[in-house]
Amino acid sequence: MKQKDMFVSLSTYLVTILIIFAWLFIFIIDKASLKELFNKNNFEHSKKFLLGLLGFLEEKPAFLDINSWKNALILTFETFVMSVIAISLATLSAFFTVIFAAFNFTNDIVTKKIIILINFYITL
Amino acid sequence: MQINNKKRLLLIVIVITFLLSPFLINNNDGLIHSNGYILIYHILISLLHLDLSFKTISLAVISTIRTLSYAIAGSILAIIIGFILGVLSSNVLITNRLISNLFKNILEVMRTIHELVWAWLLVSAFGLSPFSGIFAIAIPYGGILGRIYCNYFNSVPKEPIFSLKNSGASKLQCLFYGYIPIIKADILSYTLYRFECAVRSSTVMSFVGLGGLGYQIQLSLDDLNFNKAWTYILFLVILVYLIDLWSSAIRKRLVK
Repeated sequence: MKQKDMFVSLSTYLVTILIIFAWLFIFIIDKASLKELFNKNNFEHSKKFLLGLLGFLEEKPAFLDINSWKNALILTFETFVMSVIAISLATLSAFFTVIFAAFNFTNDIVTKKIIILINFYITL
Repeated sequence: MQINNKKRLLLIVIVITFLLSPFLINNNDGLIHSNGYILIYHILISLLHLDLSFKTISLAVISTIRTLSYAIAGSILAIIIGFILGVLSSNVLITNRLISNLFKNILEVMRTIHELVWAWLLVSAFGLSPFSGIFAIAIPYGGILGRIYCNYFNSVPKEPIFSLKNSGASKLQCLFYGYIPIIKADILSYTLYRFECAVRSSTVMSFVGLGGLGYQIQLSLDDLNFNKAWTYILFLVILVYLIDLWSSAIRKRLVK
């Protein structure tokens, strides 16, 4: 119980340190500036960009063009097919790895070592 | 239509699409172009000759820190956004369905657009600033976390909340002394999992020009310096693996 609390407490401290370090790194080393982010130029840029997205100030807004809709439809279908292929291949490979990587699948020590290697491969 | 029937229908559509996929996609030129095998051979061989020079290692270390920093900063903002919108979209503080549905839809829009697309949009709007990368992680991850937090809040058993309300607790007190203690472990567990994903996403952010491991990997690949690219990939794998080990250890202790 004590060990459990100790690990969680130490992790909490570590997370706090990491958060402080991350923001310090971003502001000091990477010289990120909130002032620059919200300056007039960026505001104008963003305004032009967002208005452009919505079709304002554009000669031929994409969403009023029938060909753009056709292209978008084809691309949507291709995206769907590629997603299905990816998830199906992932499911098939999961059948051959995750089941064997589960610690409740075997009690043998040697196999467990192999399982750790498989877990490492899954992380890859 | 019942949920089981919907699931069955979705499964049938997915299986049919998978079976028909060789005919649905254009693969006339083959899946790998004719010179692809040679390139793959070179890529694999260079794995045996990692670039372990001081210059590369020091660049890999600083890029790893940068990737991790962006991931942490993005995740923190995502947790704040997710928590606020998650509470507002659940029935914890707001009982009006119209308003909670509005917040649910905002979360939906945030999470539907992939972080890489957000990165492109934000780089177009704000330029190559670290904030573009951080916000590109924070917005979709805030949407995902908010949606999950909302589900957790709605799944809390009503009895303890009723007893708190009967003893005079306000909605806010019910949130902090009723809902959060019950779902704390689940929230932490899922947030840790999303943090792992944020580290991987932070690497992908680099591909749009924001610094970090992904940027170095892309530069090395452009120069056909595969041994250098493998060194950076190795750093990424070690980073993700360490975070995975650490978060698994915490999750185990939280569940016990």
